[in-house]
Amino acid sequence: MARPIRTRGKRKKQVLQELDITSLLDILTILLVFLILNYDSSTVQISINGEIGLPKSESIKPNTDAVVVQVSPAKIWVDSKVVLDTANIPDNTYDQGGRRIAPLYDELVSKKEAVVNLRKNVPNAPIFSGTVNLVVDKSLKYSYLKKLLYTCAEAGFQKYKFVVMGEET
Amino acid sequence: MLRTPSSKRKKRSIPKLNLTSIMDAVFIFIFFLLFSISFIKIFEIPSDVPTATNEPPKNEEKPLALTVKIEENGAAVYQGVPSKFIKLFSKTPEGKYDFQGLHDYLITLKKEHLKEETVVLEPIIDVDYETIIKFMDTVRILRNTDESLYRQGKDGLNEKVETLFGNIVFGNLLS
Repeated sequence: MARPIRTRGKRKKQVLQELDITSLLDILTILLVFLILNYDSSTVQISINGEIGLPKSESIKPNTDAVVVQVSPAKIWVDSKVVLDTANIPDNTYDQGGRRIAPLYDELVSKKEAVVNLRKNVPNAPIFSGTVNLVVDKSLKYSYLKKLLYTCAEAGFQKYKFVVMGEET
Repeated sequence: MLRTPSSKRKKRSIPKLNLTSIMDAVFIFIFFLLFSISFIKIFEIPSDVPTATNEPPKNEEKPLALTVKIEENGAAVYQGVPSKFIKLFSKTPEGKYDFQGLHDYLITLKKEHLKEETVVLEPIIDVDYETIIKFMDTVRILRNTDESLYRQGKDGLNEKVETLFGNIVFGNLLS
């Protein structure tokens, strides 16, 4: 059917359909609040091995950046490098009357020397703090923990930071 | 009074806000937060290696020399130099350590020695690490539900005591 003369040649203006985003904004606001509450402001990143079950604690002290020693019932890692595996224990693993874990001691000493040597060559390099982050499985006994602490102290790491999982208080 | 036809009220159209830029910013912010979120919160408990010194104590006050020994039948509190037994917190009938009893007793001790921060922890038996952490929390943390303690600060003003005995030292590392 032909259009009337008055409207001929004129195109109808298309009305843009506006989306109602009110509900979307509500969701985004809730999401934003949730994420802000769970925001981790700490700059220290510790990747914890899946074989380790951390104990829960009421502590709210943020972590310190330092050498990380992780201990599971089967293995010991220093900064993600395996230094002891119970599946393959050499004869001289424990020295000083069974009090010191030799592979751990050697690795920690090399870590310490690396920091000290860097400091000698680069004046702005960080000073050796003697701090060690201990990520220990909750099932381990004190007799083993004592060996661990003794070894760290012997290697020059005299400030222990026990890494724990936070719990709601 | 009747209005003239020309004075009919015109429908005011409410101006709509242009939210495009704010939506862009919110989306970027959400992605930033999503990447930095931590669902498992990890913290630390500090402890130092015990050190021996020949230097005399700086102040003339007798040191508290508080020691908590973890024993088979409970937690024993020792005090003073030489170490003197004070109290035993026996295990509950369920066979668990009386953490609350020990905590309450340490608060009463703290009231008397507000400047003291050190406690020696000595597990005598081979307890698991999880139990040691519970003991560390018990001797270290002042909870919100605990009585507030205040001490005189350096500038003479009262300051709130934040920790119970925050400096934990393991006493028998060399034995």
